[in-house]
Amino acid sequence: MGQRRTAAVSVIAAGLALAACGSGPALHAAPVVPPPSGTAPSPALTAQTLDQIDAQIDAVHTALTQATADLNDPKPDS
Amino acid sequence: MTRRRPHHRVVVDALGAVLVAVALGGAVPAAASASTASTTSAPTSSLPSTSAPSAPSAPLCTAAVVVRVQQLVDSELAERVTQLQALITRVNAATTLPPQDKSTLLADLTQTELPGIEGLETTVHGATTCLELRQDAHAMVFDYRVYLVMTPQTDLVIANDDAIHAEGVLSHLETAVSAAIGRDRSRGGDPTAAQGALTDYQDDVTAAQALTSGQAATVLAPTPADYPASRTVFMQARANLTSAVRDLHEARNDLARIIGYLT
Repeated sequence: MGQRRTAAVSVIAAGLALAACGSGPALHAAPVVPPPSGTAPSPALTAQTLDQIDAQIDAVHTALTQATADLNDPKPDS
Repeated sequence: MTRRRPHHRVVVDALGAVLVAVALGGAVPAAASASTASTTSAPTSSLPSTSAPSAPSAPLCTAAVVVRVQQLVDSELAERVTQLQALITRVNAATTLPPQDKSTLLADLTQTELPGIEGLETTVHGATTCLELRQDAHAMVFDYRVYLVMTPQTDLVIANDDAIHAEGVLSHLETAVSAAIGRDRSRGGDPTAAQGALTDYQDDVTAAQALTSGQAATVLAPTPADYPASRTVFMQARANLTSAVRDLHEARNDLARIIGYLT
């Protein structure tokens, strides 16, 4: 069962990577290619995928921080 | 753009007072700003004592004062040009802005705000009276609202569209995650915990989407003439975005849990 779960996680990771990049095919069409028997899961890819999502959220946070500064500490306009 | 409110008149009168007071080193009473009969004649030591009772402030707006106020307003205009250029740069660099939002922002910034402020620079350079400068300063603040409307408006739209993009990425993953859970189950696994985490994930993404959907249009609606009411719109948008970011973080953590369960 461990290998089957490994395959499932690999598919998720591949889909995550494609979606996070925003340039891949539709996720439901992501290639379902199980790793060769005995191949270990790809923790680097999984971590990378989560990192990519973190980057997306960080971009929102950064823009929101700028907007918050605009609102909380505007230059004198009147 | 040209709508005025009574209290704005008070504010701009105060601005005029400040401008003149600053130009004179802070020693001039507020009434000095009310000059309506400004003179560009060279200052003389007898001006204060010879001023007419009907126009007490006019003698204070000497040619030297005009020059100093002119420099002050010009400096304020230059700072606004710099700020507008920074905003234009941020809009052009924002990769998640939908074309319609980018078009709206750039139209406001490059076709109304920037040429308007640059036009005022030309006007100020040619001004010869305190009254003219006061009118220019009024237009600079009230007609364009670079700092209080255009700046937060631009950055909030960018932030909102960043959030919508992130929500799209996470939303598109739901199908793949759900399929992976299904495969795990069909192969004899027990993905109950993963399924629960997926439900949380979907709820968090949906909550974030509800907070940001349509909000860009709401934020784009206010014009400079809508200040200070615009601030209420912007503060609500910021609150919604803060909550949306929280939901996105939670969805990301749900996803990490799912991956952990299936590993």
